Amino acid sequence: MRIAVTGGKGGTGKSIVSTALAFELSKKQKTLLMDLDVECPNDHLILSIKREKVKDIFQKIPKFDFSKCVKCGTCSKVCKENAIVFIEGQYPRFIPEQCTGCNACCIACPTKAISQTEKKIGEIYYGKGYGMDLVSGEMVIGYEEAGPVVNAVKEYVKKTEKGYKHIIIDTSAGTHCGVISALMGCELALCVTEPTPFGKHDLELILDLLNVLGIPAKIIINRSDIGDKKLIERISKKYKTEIIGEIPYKKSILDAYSKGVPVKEKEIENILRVLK
Amino acid sequence: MKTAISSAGPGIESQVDTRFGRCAYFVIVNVEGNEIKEEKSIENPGVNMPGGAGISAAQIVANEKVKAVVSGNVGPKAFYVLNSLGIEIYQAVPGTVKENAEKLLRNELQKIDSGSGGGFARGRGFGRRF
Repeated sequence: MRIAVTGGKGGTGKSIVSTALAFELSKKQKTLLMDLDVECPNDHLILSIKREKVKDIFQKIPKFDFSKCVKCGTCSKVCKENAIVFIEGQYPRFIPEQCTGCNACCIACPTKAISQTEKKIGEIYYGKGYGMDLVSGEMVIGYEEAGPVVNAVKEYVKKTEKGYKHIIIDTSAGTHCGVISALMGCELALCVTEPTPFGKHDLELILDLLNVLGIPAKIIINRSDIGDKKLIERISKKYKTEIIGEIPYKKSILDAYSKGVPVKEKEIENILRVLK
Repeated sequence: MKTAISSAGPGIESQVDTRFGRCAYFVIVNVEGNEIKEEKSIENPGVNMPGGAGISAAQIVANEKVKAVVSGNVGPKAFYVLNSLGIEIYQAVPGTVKENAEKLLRNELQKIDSGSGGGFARGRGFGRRF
């Protein structure tokens, strides 16, 4: 089963829950943990897994040959990202950070003055530990689009993913394209939240998104004994989405976290029991 | 000196808008000697752009062949474009386009030397791209 761990708000314990679930599942069946929080992946830190780089991720960007350019401005006109600035009478100016590699300029150029080159946008890492495999994606600093990096990691595991009984996908916070890319294709999404107005607000956002994507959702309340649980219970009712687990604020969890070992709690086992 | 001033509406009596990429209009004026000549007002399509509004705005004013821009928050990318074209950027003060043009004429506006805000924290909605 392909399960996403998401939740909207940051810092609610998505990575703790992802790693703990993957740890429990890997005891019996072959499990892959995918860290698709590509802006700041840290499941390997939580599990103390030494990961190694297996691949660089590149994105196509245009390359201009000004000797063929007739300064017509077509490239700039077709660029939906405003990555090409055209001032009459001058050669086009390219702003690489803005480019998403759609290739429209290349196709539209009447004199074939634009070819394709690449820029590095991220890296893929692989590691092993506690019987599970860990694949994580990491964006290069300064790059803005998480989506292409997430998709590249998903593409990378495509060949091997059939060999796994379970795939746990740790998404980043929010509802942006990187999260959407990570959620696509998942059979279930576990929304880890906290009983605070922030948690409630962002939980609604992610539940709305999951509704649009057509992915069934379940709620897990972390730090369930502090804050106001009713906030989340109301959302659960409103969205007809079941709360399948509550994890209290416990010293043993913090201990495991600070030691860099997976969290082993009966609450995590309970979540898996409910899922079965 | 042909100058673009970011503004909330068309015409020289409109209030300035200190956002560069997402202002409603650019009022193009010619500030020369002791005279301010209003040339035209251009609607800014960047208001509703998901991203790259600053770059688009820089392109619009550059194509008007302005030598200076009076605005407030010019993001890093727009700044890069304007800078590479040798267009000077001046910090607008609250008031009308006309008042700002007059201040520019009297050399009372501060020149901006680096891009501010915007850019990396721009308002991109989710689901914009997969």
